[in-house]
Amino acid sequence: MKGQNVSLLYTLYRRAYGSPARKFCNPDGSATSRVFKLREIDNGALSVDVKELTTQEKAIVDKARFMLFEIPVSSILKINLSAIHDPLPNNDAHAFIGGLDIDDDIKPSQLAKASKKVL
Amino acid sequence: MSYLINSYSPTAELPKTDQFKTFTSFNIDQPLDSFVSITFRTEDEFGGLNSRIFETVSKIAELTNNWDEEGSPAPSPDNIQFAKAIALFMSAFGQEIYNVAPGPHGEILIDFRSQSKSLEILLYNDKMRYVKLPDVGTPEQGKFTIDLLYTDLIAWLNS
Repeated sequence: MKGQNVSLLYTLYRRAYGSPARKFCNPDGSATSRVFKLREIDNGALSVDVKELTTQEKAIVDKARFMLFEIPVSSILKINLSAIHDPLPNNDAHAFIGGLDIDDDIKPSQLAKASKKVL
Repeated sequence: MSYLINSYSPTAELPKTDQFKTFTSFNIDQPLDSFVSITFRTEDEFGGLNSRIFETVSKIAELTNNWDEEGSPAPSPDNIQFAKAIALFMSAFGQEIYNVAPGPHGEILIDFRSQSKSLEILLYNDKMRYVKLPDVGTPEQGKFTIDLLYTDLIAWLNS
């Protein structure tokens, strides 16, 4: 339901740009902190999908242009952020990570370390 | 914030420590024309330890605005040069850089690792920042200045 906290037992998908020529991930394939860095246009809400409500194929949209990372909701709550379900007309699995500050570079690093690449 | 190095020129043999002292004496807030130029050997000769990093920085240098199809600006040429300079000096000191990557604000991330600790240097167009992530304890972010790099930040990473 829109606006509800996502269960701490769930996992979130975060998509990041990564064409074959521009895969700026870590040498072990994990996400850099930049994958979880908030931008002005995010309006304080970092866009993600709820894994349990979608598939990897839907979440990544285009394997040729994007990478897909997953992060447990429990890891998000552990660093005092929130995971809020925010379904869209074309994507019932949409959610966001709330509580990030655009001037904060610590939490993006913590999120990246808690994530792992799935596609 | 003007800085640094648009070219690297071959130089006579200098002890590595002298080269680093030259580097640390540079005030990045000075205009470029007041900067005492850094002499250095070539990237090929000196960048061995971090050759993968140089390759990635070269890829980052090719980015144009909207490189991620989400409107992100390309990193500035100044920050590209600065990232290369840091990679050169870290190579000279035997310090491996784990990764570099562009960010959604046009920033460049320079990531160092040591066991479970990590140190990030972030070169934004309007500021520079470090982030320390210890294995235990409280993470810290602060204003990055070049004089902190080896004596404080890398020393912390390897302690």
